[in-house]
Amino acid sequence: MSIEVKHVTKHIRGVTILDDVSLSVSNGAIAAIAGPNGSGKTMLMRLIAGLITPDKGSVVVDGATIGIDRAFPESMGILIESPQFLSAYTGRMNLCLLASIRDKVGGEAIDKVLEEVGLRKDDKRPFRKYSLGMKQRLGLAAAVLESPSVLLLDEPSNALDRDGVRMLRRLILKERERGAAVLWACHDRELMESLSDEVYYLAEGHIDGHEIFAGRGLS
Amino acid sequence: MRCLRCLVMDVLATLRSTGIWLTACAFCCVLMLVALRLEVGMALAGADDGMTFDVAFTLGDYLLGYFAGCVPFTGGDDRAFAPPIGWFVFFLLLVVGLARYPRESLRGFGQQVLIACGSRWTWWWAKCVWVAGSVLLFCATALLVALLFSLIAGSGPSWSVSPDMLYLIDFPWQELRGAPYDALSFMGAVVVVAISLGLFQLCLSFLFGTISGVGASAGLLVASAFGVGPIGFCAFSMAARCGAFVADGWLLAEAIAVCGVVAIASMLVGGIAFNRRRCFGSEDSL
Repeated sequence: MSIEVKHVTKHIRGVTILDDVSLSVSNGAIAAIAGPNGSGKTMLMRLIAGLITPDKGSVVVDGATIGIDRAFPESMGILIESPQFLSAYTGRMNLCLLASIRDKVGGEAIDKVLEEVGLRKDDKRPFRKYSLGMKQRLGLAAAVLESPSVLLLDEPSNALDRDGVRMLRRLILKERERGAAVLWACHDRELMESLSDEVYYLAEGHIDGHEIFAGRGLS
Repeated sequence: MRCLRCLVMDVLATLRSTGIWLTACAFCCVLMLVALRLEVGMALAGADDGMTFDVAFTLGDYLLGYFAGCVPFTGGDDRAFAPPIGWFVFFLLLVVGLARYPRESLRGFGQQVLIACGSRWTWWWAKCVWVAGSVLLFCATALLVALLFSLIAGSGPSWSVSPDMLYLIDFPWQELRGAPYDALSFMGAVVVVAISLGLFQLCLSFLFGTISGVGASAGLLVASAFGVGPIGFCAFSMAARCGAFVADGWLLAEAIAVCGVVAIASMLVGGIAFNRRRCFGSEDSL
């Protein structure tokens, strides 16, 4: 298993945000989290990402317990909320700067991923001049840039036009084929069910249902 | 290496805001030094006939425009307490300029950088270095303005301080140690105090919030000016309490020791607080 969430509970200021939540996502699988606003989807993603720690339970990603063995998953791509970058720099420059921290990929990989998400590598506009859709595409590019083994996407179709949604679909399927464990949340039920191997339904912080879609190659 | 790269990210993210902050610093420094010249001019004009003064307006003299400070408040002669304006403005501007970025970055791009760093401590150390580096730039700006004043309207870049300057700006001259007076080692203490204050505020901002951090730092400055015992470490940046100028004043080694403890404690406590901190992105309040 690439992502294992085991009986996780989280309270914040006396409010139970997540209540005994358990789920798992295998390598090469796409799992979705569905639920109404305020059900805890984003908090669950933050927990898996290591941005918050559970009060009870544990999160294990690629064999490492988050918060104990590692602060954050070793190989993770993440898109939570509206993506933010350095406003005075171009999209490409932002990705170069981000990639330079771990130094795993170079200019060629950056150009390739920009093309995949539908952005121009030679676009001279700074990030602050990007439309919402372009910002979202750049956020997706940053998430998949280093070919992560775990991909967390929270409402990735926000602000995307029809072409953008097609691009998103291709991207997510490609990541699955590459063997990544993809966990995502999406309000577009049709898109979510057409792409996902399984769906966890979250309501008021607890898992309310779990559906597996047969015949999608879930390992 | 990741820490260094994280630091590069911090520098690039704050280029514009740092430029604005340093410009504000330079502007305030110019005002303070003009005020110093006016103060000395008025003192000279009001001097008794027959008294002559020799003020060279060296670099050291101009630095007193920011860091002259004041003696601890005793309240004996019915004077209301007031922190020295130049000194207070300098350090308050320092504190305000450093306040927002570290926490605010976690609401945006900094969160991605944090995850890419792979370690909260790596991110934290980069912030500490960013604070220290920004403080050095801030102090360098103030020094540069004083240097320019000494070259344009003074006798040049000497660290020596004119004894008559100390008299004219109402220094506690009864407590002065014998001349010569040299501002170089004193400036070393100023830099150490400024870095410690910056790190102290960084720690407070992660413990209690940015606004509380600024408020507490401002309170600390007032307490230091007032003369509140050991917690007022900012007093080490006041020439009026420095052993280089006054008898029984603090020594440079003392200043470095106390400020060093403050800086190290701030980095460790702040780092531990950050390691336990929830990162909510844009939902985080300042």
